[in-house]
Amino acid sequence: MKNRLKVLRAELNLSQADLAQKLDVSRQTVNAIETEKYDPSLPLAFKIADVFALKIEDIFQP
Amino acid sequence: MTTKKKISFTGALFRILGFSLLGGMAVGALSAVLMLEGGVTDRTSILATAGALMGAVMIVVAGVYSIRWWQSVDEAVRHAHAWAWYWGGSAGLAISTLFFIVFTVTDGVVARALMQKLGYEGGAVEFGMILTAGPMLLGYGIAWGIWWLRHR
Repeated sequence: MKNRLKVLRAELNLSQADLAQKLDVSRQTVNAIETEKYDPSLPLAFKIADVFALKIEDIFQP
Repeated sequence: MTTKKKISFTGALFRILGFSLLGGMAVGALSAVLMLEGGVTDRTSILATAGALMGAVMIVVAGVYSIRWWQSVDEAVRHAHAWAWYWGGSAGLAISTLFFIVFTVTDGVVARALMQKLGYEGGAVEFGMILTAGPMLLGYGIAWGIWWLRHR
């Protein structure tokens, strides 16, 4: 699944570690999602959307 | 995706070893008391009971900390382990099965030759357990590494 996580993270000036901390996951997990190698679960996708104050579909595209 | 208080893999491992060490000391002390004060003179049965108790302690402690560790890791980490166990563990089990087929067909001749070649002097059952768990764990470790290499 494609996503805009890297761009959105850069806009908020967050490091992968910062975002990982906000999401309560490991930095490796954030990296795997960003590089589109791993699709997050729905609860994690909601959490990501919550961090960026966006809808899930504004971040993830099929 | 709810995670509990973070507990690292090595942290869990050290806790398991620490509690097992304490359990071993307690079981050892109990054995000594039974032999010295309780009039129990059968050293072999005492040691066997102590070993079984120790094993039980280790299984319980390992179970508790494995669950706690599993609950504390995130979903990708869990997915990596589940994937590794399915593919790596299954591949390892397939290799173990090949060993067992060969051992059975040759009526144990190959098994004994292999034990001799490896210098293994323990029982056949233990050797079988090692040949089952060994490839599965090896496959698990390799598959786990592959998952993270593919998801970097």
